[in-house]
Amino acid sequence: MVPELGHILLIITFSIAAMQCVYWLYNLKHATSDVILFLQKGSLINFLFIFLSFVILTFSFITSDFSLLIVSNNSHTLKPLIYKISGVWGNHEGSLLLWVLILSAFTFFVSFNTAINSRLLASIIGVQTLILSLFLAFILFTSNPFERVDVLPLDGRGLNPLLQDPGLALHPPMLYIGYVGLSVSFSFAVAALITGEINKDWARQMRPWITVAWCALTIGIALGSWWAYYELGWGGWWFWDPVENASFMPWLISTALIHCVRILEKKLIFINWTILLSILAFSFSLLGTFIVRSGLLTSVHAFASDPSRGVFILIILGISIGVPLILYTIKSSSFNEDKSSFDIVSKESAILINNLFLTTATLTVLIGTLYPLFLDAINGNKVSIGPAYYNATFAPIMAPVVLLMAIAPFLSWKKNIDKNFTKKIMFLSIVTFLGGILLHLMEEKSVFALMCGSLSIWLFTGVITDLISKIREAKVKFQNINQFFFFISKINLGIHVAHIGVAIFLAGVTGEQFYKSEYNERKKVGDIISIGTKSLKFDKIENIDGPNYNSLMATFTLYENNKFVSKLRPEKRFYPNEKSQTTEAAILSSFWGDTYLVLGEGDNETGWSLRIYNNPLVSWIWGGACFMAVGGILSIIQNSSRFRNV
Amino acid sequence: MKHKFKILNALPLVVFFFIVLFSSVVLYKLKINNRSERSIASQLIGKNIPKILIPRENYIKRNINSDNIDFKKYHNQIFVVNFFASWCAPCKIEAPIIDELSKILPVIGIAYKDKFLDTKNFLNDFGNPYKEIGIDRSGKIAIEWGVYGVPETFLINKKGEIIYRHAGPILYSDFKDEFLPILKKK
Repeated sequence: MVPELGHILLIITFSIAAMQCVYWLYNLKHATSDVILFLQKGSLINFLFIFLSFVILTFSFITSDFSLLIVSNNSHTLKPLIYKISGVWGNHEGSLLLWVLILSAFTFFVSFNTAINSRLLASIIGVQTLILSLFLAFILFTSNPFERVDVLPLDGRGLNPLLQDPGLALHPPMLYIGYVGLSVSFSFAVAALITGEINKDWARQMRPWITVAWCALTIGIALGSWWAYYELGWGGWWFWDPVENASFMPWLISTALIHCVRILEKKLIFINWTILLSILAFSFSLLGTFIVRSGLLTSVHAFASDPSRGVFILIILGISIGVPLILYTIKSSSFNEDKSSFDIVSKESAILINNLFLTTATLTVLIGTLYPLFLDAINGNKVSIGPAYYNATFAPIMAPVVLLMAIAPFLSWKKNIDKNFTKKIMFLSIVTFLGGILLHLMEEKSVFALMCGSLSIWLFTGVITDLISKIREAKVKFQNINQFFFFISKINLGIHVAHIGVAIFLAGVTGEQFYKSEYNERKKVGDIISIGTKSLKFDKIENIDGPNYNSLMATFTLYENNKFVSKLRPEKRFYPNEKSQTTEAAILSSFWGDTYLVLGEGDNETGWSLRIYNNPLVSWIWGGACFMAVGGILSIIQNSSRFRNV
Repeated sequence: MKHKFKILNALPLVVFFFIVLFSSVVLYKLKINNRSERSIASQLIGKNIPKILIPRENYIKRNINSDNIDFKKYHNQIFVVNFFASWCAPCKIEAPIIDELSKILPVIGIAYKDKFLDTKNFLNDFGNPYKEIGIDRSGKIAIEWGVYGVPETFLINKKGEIIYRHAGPILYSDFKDEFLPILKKK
């Protein structure tokens, strides 16, 4: 009975949401406080009901109610509790329910943002609710999570063992918060198109929502890449896989949007561009959902795909992107922009160039993702586009972005007033040049390695220089902690932290891409393998039983300069319920790099095949992503009223 | 009036329109057409049918302890094995053709990853042309047969060898141009 309650709750929510949409459209011209109140209450009820329904589904997973189709297909009584819970979103139906839950939560939170003017707010809630009802219809008609089975199975089929992992338990929720969070800025844009009301306040209200979504996307993507790094056992962290691209494109666009909306907040220019970017960002999120969920692209990540649902998603896409674009076509020429000019050397130009390059980069990723499909549809040729394409197209486009990222914060609005501007650039160039030479002397690698490493140094120095000069200009002496906080609230520390994150990330990429070394060995128990200054001793190999798997575990001792460092235990796990095997790499992470050890096939007579990677600075990749997210959070805090009123 | 319509503002809409158009074509091809499946030749052509037991499902008397489909019964005659599923849209398209086919040859249906009640409803709605129906709950039988997706149809000759495989729904044109010529030859 309990699952039926969840189903009924969803049906009721769908009816309420649909009713809200009609009510909103009917009262489009006069958004009184009554209308707002109705929409607010509706959003609250939607959120509560979907939340309850999600709790019920989670409850069914925890209690292993195998009369539900998705529970019997994705869970098992022997699975640890945390993976029973993460099993809720480890499948198509459950992940959509999570999507809708997050959407209703965002709608609920934004509906109480009364600082927004009422006509705009009504339309924002209206657009959000419209998307909500479309997705609820999708769930109810094509992918009902509460579907029962005819024949009750004795036990479930289990969750794909690759997905039974703490990194991946959190990856989809974070990514979805990012995807769905972009719906808010989308609704802001559509509401502006509908009501024609757009001003600096619009941008000010919208910016935190974009930043929240952007932070969640950053962390979500980083978690996914971290999972791929240690779980798939290939030693790589980014594969330019279509599903990864699907999450990366909204990230790139929302990065452009975060920067662009700052201009709009200062003065009323680039209105159309900001609106278009907001629509695009969410469109790419929808495209991400579409790509992963429809089976349009087949990839290693397509764990839950089904082509028959594609048509429905295409309809949702058609409505939720097509209609705003029609509105854009009609309305976008009617906005009044400020008449204001700016120099070539100014913050506006820098952000404009940043936007230009970021959107071009997104386009190259989009082409790389869709081109194989396009070719297949036209003449049946099957091609796959790999890192070679992206290294040749994406990397050169992003390089100028990083170059600019270091110097743009020196610039002021409208025109350059910094007298030391040329000096700072000279300083940056010298430091970067010296750093490059040092890098070259340390270990000679390709030109690209040098360029990538130098870019990281350039950006790092740039951010530090900017910070120091800001402190100098302020001429403050920090006598107590309050003064320090006051100063911090004056400068945009979030920007610095996020940009430092990019520099750290780049350093990690340089280390991982260009300075890593790989060893393939076949060794018996007792053998010693030497890799550079380190050496590995093969101690033993044994069978061990886990909670829902059997494991073949090898034990190695790692020595560096003949000193004991650590034990390494790579595993091969066999999951009897799912009849599948996973490779658990043994990774010793340190600040300066990882030792990554994978156990392959073999036996005690002929030896075991081993793959060992030395990955310098690899953890900086995810560390950098964390810095970026923290920078985003800082900038939200700084822009909140508490700090503005200090 | 400030409503000066700029043609450039329609650009995003136009681009989007083409992307949707293109996606529809791809989806349509994924659903209906099976060129990609056809291009992959079956490894089983000219070989004996896989020796895997197929549990028979009796849709009139469910309680009967179902045994396995016995292919020896069809020795010395040409017969058809058709993988289908109630959840598969193209199977509905080919249902009338399978009906036609069953007038000439015995057709054995294998319900792929299907639920009993759904299959029963499917047969009620679209007719039951099958001599016997087996079920493949886990999808293992389909793997043995090298099935790419449903629907998929195999022609088996008098010696029990697979002589022809058709991936995807059999359209009337396929029936006329591919099945009938093969049958005439034999």
